[in-house]
Amino acid sequence: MIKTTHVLLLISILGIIFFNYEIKNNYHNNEKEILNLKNLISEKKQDIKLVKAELAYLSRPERIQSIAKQQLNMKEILPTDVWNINDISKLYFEKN
Amino acid sequence: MENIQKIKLKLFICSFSFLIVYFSVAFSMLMIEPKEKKIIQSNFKITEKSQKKRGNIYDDNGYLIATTIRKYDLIINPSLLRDPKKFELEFKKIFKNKINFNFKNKLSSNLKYLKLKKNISLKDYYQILKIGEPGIRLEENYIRKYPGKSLAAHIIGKVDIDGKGISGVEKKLDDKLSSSKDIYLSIDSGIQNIFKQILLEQIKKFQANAGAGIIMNANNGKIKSIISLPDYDNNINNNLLEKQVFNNATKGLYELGSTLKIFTAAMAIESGKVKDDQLIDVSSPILLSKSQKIRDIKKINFPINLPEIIVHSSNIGTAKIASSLGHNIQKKYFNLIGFNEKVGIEIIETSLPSIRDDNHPSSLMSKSYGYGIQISPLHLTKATAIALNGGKIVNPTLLKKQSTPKNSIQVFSNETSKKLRSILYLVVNDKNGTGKSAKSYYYPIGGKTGTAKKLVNGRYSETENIVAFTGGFPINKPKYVFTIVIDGPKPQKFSANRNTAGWVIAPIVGKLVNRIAPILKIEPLNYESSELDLKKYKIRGATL
Repeated sequence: MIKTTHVLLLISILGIIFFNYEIKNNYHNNEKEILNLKNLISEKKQDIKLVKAELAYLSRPERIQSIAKQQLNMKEILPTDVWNINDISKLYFEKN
Repeated sequence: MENIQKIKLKLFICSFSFLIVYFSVAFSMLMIEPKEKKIIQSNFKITEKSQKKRGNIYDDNGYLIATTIRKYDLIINPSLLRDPKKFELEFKKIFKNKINFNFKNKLSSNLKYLKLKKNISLKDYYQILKIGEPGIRLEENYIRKYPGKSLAAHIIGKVDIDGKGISGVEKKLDDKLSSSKDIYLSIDSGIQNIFKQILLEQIKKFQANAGAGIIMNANNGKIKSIISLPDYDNNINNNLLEKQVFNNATKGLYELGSTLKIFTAAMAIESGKVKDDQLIDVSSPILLSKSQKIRDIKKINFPINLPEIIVHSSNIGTAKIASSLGHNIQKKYFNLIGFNEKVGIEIIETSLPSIRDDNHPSSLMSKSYGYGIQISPLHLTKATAIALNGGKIVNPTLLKKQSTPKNSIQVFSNETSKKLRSILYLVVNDKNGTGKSAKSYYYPIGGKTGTAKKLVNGRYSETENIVAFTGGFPINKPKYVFTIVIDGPKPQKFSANRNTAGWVIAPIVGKLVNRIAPILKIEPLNYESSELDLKKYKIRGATL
């Protein structure tokens, strides 16, 4: 009554079901991974934002000025320090 | 045979039913999956508030002024805890006792919501999840941070706990910011810092109460710097004093004294009612009433002309010019330069000037030299820009990219503006000028000092002053205009016991221009006054 074809059919159905299940399982695993990565990206983006804010905090003009003055002995720019490029070249050619 | 047939049938039924059971189990496993996924997701995804990410605010050079940072708070539901004692122990182990939380009975209570720790890292959160108790989750919160601290705090403003703007740019441009758009301001952080330091130093030197300052592009109205002192760290929300938060530069209204003589002179020249060389007698005070007299500090015994009136800052002369102009002309020009309205700028803290509005001659005269008219430093800056830039209306703005209207209205003619520039140049560069200590040897500066008695409870104080200075540089072709106001400077020994604008503000003007002009890409000029494209007026001293 049960022919070999029936048996084969049954086995192949079982195989397909198993295969299908594997695909679906993989799909869900990948989906989890994507979700993971998405969370990670948003996490990193926030980290970058935080680092940028910290950089701005550290490079605020007030702080840079006090470092430049106290640690590096730098002085304020005077108008006499600012030169027009044409004047410099004129001065150079006059000298030579 | 029949038996074998029966057995086969039974076998078949058995195997068939087994297969059905098998399939149904397999099928239900497939169906269960999505439900499981949801659970995983909810455990994974942190409860996120629907609030969108707020845009950043940058300055002219791209320096970050305001940003929103995400932080996580650890929330637990104590009523779900199975073993509160163990949880407490493990929790303390993870944070190595670095917690300031009082656990007393809170974990074993019936509370549904408990904020256990603010600002927790995700790493710590996974550690806590590993304890294996239910009812633990993270709450995502956004906080607004201002890395520059007090930098431009008054104009940037603040947001409330829900991230909605409540003052300054944060409020006025809330729609744009809350739809995640960044904003670029015309403010230059470097200049802002230099200006604040110079102003603060002078306020301390003269033991003054407060101060304000504005630097603005004379042609397109882009504001490079706005200072209001005292100021505050924008990251702090508690214990701020009213006078710290108040924006003196845009909301404060003051009688700015002689600085308004610029506009009386402008009206006189523009309307043609007073000629440059027309002589006006300023030798005797004007009697307004029995108790009110218009006087000059420096008595000048001979008739002087309009440029001399401004350079010597003669109240009598200005009042006489105003009375020859009349109420209508004064009102017309005050309205044209924007004294009848709030200044349209990208913050909410602006004020409507308060101007004495009666037809008494004393009102006309006193307004001509800055009494009976209260305006904000921003109003004065705008008006100065109009007077000096060739007479065109400018609209102050805080935005880097703001389209300027092509056909702006001409209030004063080019010629009037040139005459004003020439007069204001002499106020600073002539030996008789009231603002001569503002002189810079590298940049031609022009401006006008103003000292007004302070109104205290409706009466003019004999000791307290409001001092102001407004002007532009380079004055032969102004690129920038500025206004500085200091409230209540006290007379000092080093200032010969004076507390007038010439002593308090003029000395910092030259210093300020020398420092910021190179940053504003203005070339220093090795100038002779005769080379400048200005009118040459001759100014006589107070005594001949």
